[in-house]
Amino acid sequence: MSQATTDRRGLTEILPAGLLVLVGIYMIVDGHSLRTPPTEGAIGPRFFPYVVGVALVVVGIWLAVAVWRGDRAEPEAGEDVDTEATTHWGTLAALAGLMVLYVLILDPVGYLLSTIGLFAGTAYTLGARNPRSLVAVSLLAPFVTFIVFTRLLGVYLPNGILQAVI
Amino acid sequence: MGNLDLLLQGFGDALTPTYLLYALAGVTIGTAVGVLPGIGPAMTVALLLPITFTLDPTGAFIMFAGIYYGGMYGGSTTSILLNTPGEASSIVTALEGNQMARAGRGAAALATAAIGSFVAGTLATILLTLLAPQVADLAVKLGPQDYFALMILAFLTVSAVLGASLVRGLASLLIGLSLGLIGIDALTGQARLTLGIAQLADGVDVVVVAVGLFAVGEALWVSSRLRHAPAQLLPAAGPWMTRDDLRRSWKPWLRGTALGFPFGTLPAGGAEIPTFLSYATEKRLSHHPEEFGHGAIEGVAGPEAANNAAAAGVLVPLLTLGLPTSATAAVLLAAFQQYGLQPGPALFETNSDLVWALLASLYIGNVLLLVLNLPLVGLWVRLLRIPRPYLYAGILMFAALGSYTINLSAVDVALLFVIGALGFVMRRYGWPVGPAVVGLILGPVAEQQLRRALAISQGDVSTLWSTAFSATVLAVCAVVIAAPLILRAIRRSPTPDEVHR
Repeated sequence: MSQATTDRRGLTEILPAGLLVLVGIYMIVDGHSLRTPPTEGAIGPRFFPYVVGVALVVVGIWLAVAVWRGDRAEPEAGEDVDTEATTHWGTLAALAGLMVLYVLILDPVGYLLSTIGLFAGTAYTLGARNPRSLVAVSLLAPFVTFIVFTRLLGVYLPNGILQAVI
Repeated sequence: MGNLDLLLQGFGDALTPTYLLYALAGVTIGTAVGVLPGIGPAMTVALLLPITFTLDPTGAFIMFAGIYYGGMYGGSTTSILLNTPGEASSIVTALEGNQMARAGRGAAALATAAIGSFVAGTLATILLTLLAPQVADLAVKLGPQDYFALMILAFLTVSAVLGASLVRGLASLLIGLSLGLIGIDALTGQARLTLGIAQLADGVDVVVVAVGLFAVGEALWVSSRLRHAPAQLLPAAGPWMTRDDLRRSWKPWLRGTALGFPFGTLPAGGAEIPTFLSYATEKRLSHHPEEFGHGAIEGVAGPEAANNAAAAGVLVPLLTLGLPTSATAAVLLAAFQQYGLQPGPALFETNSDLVWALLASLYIGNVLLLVLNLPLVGLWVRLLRIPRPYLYAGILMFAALGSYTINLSAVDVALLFVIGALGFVMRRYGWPVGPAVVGLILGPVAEQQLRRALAISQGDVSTLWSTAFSATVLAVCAVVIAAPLILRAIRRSPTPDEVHR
């Protein structure tokens, strides 16, 4: 991997840095709409949003400039992270889709079925291909969790369309 | 001697069968989850929060103490037996422990780590028991400006220490502070930053943020660049600790404890610095410096002891001041808040039973962990073989479950995933996530203390440095900011010359 490509790739960090600046500006504007009651003494509810907002703008610009000048931080390491690899956007897109779906169906369909879907979908996306173990683990893990939490710990989880059966 | 009586009473509470069972469950689950690759102590505690929601506070905290210590023990197994370094605080253990395992001395490395953790954990817990009530007595006298100064110090050191880059640490801290501002302002009842979403009026739940950043963020990050060939697992082979190993280990254990505990109590990010210091010390003092880098047992014994002693040290500011100094401590503080308890000097007065039962359970947890880890290490090692797709699917499942159970609302699950995406972006660019969690938890408290201080002084800003304590702490803050800049200026001037030669 040559130095030039690494440098160019890291430049996208300017995007999150710019986002910090935008959030900071929004925070200052939002803070401006707050009213300070006279009893509150000196600073009231506006002060902290102002401070944090200004700090966000400053740090965002500072970071963007640093990145522009070639400052890069190591991405986080981990036991299962391949530091040589590039981001698999397909995997991330699939996981994002699963998450959105899960949030939408959790209450109507019920905990058990939606979680089986989330588990199986995630495991398959990450490369679990043996059909027998994929089905077995994806059924077993959510089921055991469901039983432990609802029956043993007394936590409510939505039954959804299985209402009649469970 | 009043404290000794209280401690004995704490043991009386903690040794009842029910609480003993909670402690055992805590250390077992903590070790198991801590062993799993990719799951550090902060994530262990965050993921397991929902399990304790249905327990009474004392039972919950006994279980938490077990999970907290168990996660620390479990982490060392991972770093010794997987031939890739994990998170920062276990890098040092991985350096030598991994080499030992490769040379067929894995069993001895695991043993010195476990016994060292026990020795350090027990000694540090004794220090904690002696020190915490004293600090609490002093802390009662602190005013709002003193607390505010302490929090500024914690913000600065946590941003500077967790992670390699100061500006990224600050960015992370500010993200946390912003999230902490969301919701109804406690003093005036006005909504701040809620974007008109009703569910945000109560603020963002700390557990959702912690689990989102640590668990979902990590799962997404790992998924985005998963190793196709899983990391090679080294066997826990070879003879157990020999007499020679023991002779070489006991001094590093004690020195590691002596380094770890005080660093843990300082607002400086917990275990990372003392483990590095301990490693450097052992290397210098060793009779076999040539073995370092090739599996020196001192290099496992010292840092592991330092790691566990720091874990106990972190509890001093957490329990007595309500000040979390590491990401894991921040999650523990969130656990207290879930029960409507605010750690701080008052906790020793109002919830004395709980505090002492918690302290007693730390001793018990350490003994249980030694028993669990020495003979049963083979069992934990098997957890390292879990196929990664199922491991990360399980993490996502558990993270979602935990967030749902807080308010029984799918909105929290959606928020969890959004924050998980944020955690992914932060990992991608090397922004540390710890400062965000600390900022989220301490931000609202800092604001409250600041407004209280200024209300008392009727708007006179000089009140913020009016006490000797607050002035000293703010001076330390100034040093923390100035020192790296000065160091960099000194370092920068000669470098171009050196590079050219």
